[in-house]
Amino acid sequence: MHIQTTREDHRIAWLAALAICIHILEASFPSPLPGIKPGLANIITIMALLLFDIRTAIWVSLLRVLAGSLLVGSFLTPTFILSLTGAICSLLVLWLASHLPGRGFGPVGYSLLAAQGHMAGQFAAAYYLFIPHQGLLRLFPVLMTLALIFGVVSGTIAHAMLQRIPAHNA
Amino acid sequence: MLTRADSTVLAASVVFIACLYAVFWQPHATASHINIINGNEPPQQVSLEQDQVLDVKGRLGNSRIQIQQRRARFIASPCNNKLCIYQGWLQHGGELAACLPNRILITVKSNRRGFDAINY
Repeated sequence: MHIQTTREDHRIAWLAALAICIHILEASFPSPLPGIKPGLANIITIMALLLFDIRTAIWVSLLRVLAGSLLVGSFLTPTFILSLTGAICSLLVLWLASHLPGRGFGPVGYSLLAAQGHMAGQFAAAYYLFIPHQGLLRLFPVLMTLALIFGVVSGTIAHAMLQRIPAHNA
Repeated sequence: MLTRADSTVLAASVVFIACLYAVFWQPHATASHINIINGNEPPQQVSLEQDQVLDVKGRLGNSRIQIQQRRARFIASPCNNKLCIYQGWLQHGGELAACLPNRILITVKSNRRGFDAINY
């Protein structure tokens, strides 16, 4: 059997593979608190959105969550559910942002929105599904602050990478 | 590097997060009163606002309860083990000290219950 693949399929596969690599590298770093990591794989989603379109970004992001969890061994665990909820929320925010009128966002704005959307969605899932305790809410501002910092850092990296892509600047 | 939309989102995020801190990091209301349960009698509610020393007559004799700076403790008891006294100060919601021989129990009442234990 031979499945016809388009140029776009290949592009999505390459970008997703890149994002999965970053995802796994990041999973091997120790984290001071569960759920806190820089989310550098987000950079690939932002690049996909800026270089191509929101459709590509959605594919890349969801494939990364699915394949990344299979490889790390967290498929269908709470970690996976949190990761998926976060990804869906950040994609929703990106979809809305990309449909706003005007000159639009650069990499930093998109990355910031995605990081905040991801953290808020993930936190809501953690609170309602796993730990519905008032004490958890005190962690929310701290997590959102970290999301802000990591979002700006990822966005800056994405910006630097875009500068090095000749086709994007032409 | 930043477009106008980027800057707007960045500024809005900073304001939003500042609001989150304001909303979620309010200090908790401290405990307002204790309940003293003596034998089979209904609980007696005592405010923590006023510093005082109470003598409560139990089965064996008088248990002395001190209230000071919004905290409460047993300071004297006719029982043998004095576990109620060793329990020390009680100040958070849900904390309790009991003197079983004298059948006296004090518990701190608060809107917010503390944790019994935390485990990761």
